[in-house]
Amino acid sequence: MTSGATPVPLRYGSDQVEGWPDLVAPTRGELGAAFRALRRAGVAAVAVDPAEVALARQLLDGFPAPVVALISAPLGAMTSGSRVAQAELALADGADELAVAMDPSLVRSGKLGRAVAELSPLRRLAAGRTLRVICHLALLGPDLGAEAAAGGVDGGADLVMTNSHFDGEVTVEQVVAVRRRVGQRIPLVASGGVAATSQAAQLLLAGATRVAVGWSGFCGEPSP
Amino acid sequence: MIATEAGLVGIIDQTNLEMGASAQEIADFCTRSVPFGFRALCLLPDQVGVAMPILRGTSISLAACVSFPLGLDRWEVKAREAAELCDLGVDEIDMVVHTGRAREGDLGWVEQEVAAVRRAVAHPRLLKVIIEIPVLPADLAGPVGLAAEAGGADLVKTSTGYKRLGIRATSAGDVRLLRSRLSPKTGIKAAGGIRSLGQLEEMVEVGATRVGASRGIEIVQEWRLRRGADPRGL
Repeated sequence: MTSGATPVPLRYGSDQVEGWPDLVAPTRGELGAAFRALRRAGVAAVAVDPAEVALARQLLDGFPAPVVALISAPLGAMTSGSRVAQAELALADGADELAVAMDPSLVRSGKLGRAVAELSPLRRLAAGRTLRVICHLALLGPDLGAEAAAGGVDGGADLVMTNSHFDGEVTVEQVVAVRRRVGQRIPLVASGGVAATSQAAQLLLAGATRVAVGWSGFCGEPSP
Repeated sequence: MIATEAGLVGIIDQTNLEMGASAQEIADFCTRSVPFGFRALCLLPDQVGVAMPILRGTSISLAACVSFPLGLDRWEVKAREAAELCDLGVDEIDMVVHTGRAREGDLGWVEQEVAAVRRAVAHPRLLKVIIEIPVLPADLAGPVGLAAEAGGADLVKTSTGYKRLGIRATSAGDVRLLRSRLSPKTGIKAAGGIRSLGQLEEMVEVGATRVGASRGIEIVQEWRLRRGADPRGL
């Protein structure tokens, strides 16, 4: 979680910045304030925790950014049935996209195939919508994380996100490793602790399609 | 002061909630912990299958977390995850309330989601409800604890203790407050930053009936040293 102390004056309104939940235990009032700031900034997408999808839909109030429901995030440790239930409800609540945290324990245990197989029911649920995969590169390291990303793409993901909001900081090295492994075709969102314009610019130059910036970076409000 | 080793280990939930821990690391953790006879081992849901065969035939309960660590799931998802874990053979569930609604003081929300999970966690399985006191306004810790109790919590737990959240450690004041508000029948689990025997005993003195600790082995060894015994239990 970021402290929220450093707003990130990126090229808001371009298609290069997404909003990402980084407030601890936000109230509905705080979510409202964050979404007003996200709309002002003109973000390209907004990721939300699954319980808040319906509220996010209301708060966007016609603003065209897709709502991305985080599934099994941040830890990637949920049971398989509850992960599917979470995705079903998020879609019913109005999510436009799903971002699924792969199980990093399976990947670190040499069971990447099983981690990829867990994406299958979610791929079916999200038919016709974007399925993202969150690959925990800061936790797994660039090489294993890039393997996970490639597995996720093989498993049907349309888009790769480097990290969940608990993994740690995204780096240029991570972006380069994923790009090298999955090629240029798959959109890549650099996520995880982006807190400065220069850092974001480097990630985009290295091959990221977008960067995900914590909500607090838009509203300048520190986490409680 | 805790008088016996059985009395000490009988209140410790030896805990490993490390994100991305490998199956081997969790197996090693369980194997190291079993000889100490802790009350329970507390793990993430995806590690239950690793721990189950190691704990089989021991007196140690297996606890798993639900909606951990943020609690930002709909109640249906929490109930589903708890039911799946019970089907797998877990003895205890540590669920996190919706921390945002708790901070707002939406006590009806908290009670309803706890009740939904309670229906999935039939006795004698235990339901512990984490109310994340470190993020709550001071005047809400008691009411949120009472809402958890009304929903059917067997124990109310002070905090996730999850260091990546960047929240403060649990304090003796948190436990004392809950003890003063909850029914004597409701247990209190203190968790979050309890790393020494002295801290554990302080929590017990003010009313904790269970303590979550990732350093349970070190705490027991500290107790043995204080008693002049070999810390290895020899």
